[in-house]
Amino acid sequence: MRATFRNKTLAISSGFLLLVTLAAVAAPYLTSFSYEEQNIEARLEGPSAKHPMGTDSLGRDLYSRILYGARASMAVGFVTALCAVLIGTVYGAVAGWVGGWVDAFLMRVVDIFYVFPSLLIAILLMVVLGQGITGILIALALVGWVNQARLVRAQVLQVKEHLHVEAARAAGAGGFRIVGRHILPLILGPVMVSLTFQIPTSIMAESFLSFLGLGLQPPYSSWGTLAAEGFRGMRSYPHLIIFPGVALFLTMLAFQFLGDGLRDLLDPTTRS
Amino acid sequence: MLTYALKRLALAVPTMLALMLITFVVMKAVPGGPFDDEKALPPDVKAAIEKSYHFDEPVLRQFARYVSGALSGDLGPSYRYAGSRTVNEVIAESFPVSAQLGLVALAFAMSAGIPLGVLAARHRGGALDFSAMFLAIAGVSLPSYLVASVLILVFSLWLGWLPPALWEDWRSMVLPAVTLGLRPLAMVARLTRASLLETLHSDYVRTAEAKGLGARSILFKHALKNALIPVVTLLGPLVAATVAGSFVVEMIFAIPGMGKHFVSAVIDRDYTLIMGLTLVYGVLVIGANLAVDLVYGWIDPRMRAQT
Repeated sequence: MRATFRNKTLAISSGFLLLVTLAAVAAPYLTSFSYEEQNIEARLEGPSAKHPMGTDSLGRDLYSRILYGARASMAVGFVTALCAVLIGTVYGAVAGWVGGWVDAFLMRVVDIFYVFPSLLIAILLMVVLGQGITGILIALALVGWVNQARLVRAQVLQVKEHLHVEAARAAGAGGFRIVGRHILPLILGPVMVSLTFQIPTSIMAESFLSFLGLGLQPPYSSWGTLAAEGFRGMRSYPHLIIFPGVALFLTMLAFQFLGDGLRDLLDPTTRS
Repeated sequence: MLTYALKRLALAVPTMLALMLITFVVMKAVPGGPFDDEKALPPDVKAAIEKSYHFDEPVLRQFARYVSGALSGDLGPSYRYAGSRTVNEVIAESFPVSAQLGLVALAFAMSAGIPLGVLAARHRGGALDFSAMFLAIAGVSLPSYLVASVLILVFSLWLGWLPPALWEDWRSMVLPAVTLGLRPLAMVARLTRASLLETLHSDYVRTAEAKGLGARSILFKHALKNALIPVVTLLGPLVAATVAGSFVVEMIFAIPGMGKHFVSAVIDRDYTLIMGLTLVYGVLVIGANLAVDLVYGWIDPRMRAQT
């Protein structure tokens, strides 16, 4: 029963995420309103047939704004998670492959980053980089790599001892070639799983930063900035924060299930 | 055990120094300063301000001054509250508030998370397990501002049971503590479940079963004690999660704690306050991790042998 259940959640969560991604890309075709078109006469309306999620304090259609917000949220999540995973993979591979004092030093640095809450480091980085899209991209890419580095190092240490690596070495292959062609392909599975977990972490971090007013600035808007706007008027108009919040929640949930499902799929030992 | 403890402590010191160095360098690298105004200050006024904050000294000496100040417990003046309040005073006021909130949140997370994990493990594969684990996944997927909004709407605005903000009596503590504790709760429940499942498959539990002990006695007298050991290691990540969560939660509920001060210090570019608060957070997180290492080394002698 568990296997079929797992396949179902995997299918539903990846289908949902595909839908959100497509909706983000095709936002202009899915709504007749623009995200910035104001209509003061129709401000702060509840959900209706014309505005399925109501309107905000300037009369802008919330559904359109959430669709366009998905662009910023998903794009920031994908890009920063990809960068973080790349940095972490290279870092971890170097540490694991070279070993010795290089490894010891590199891992001490990781330990230092590891103990601190990444949101705290991201906020400190935002102070230096300045708020806005570039700052947030760099800050989130720079905080996400630590877990990845630990994971890849541990995997490289393991695969390094395999016979085929010894054979490659005996055949005269250099370090780059061995790591690139004989080790990394073998650990691609766990790397993909951790990418699936890194994307929602990044999306959530962006939304927190934006909610606090430290993240994206106008004209960019993400689910986090929408929630921040919504929070101010929440007492009288709860739909303004509920809809962007739920959009983020469902996306997070789908990523969690996708990550869990992928991990079980790729690692038969956790199947029971 | 003593050498192990000293080794662990010795590892914590460079981590702390590295944190100080990084925040110091970061704050020095920031473009623009707290005294950059729309209108340029007269040069002599600017020089006087810079002198009073020791900006005219070489950077290395500024760092040495900062470290020695921090070691003797003086974190310097706050830029924003220039003249009226020091960083020490801001921290002295806000630390007890945040500490109280954090402790209540963690107590909530533990007291609900462990039973939830145990229930899930006992009814493995059943509906109870499924709902408990769904709750745990939801706990890490829910943005805290959504949780806070729903709680405020239901318990403050509709039912009128609890205040929607501020920090006065125990009633004002409930909603922020629940919001802040939800993510830790999910972490605790997941780990408790996994660890208990593993323990329940171990040989000594089978022995207990073989000699005819009841399921209840095995679970509570034998399995749970060992299963909860890995949960101890969560303390470090839990403190980190609570610190990170407090930024949003204290802003939402208008709680005068360190998280709220930290966010407004960042917006106001109050560098000394940012550095001071980061330092306190550093001590907290490093301290929690050190405590985990020590407790774990004490419970499980194998840990001592490894280092």
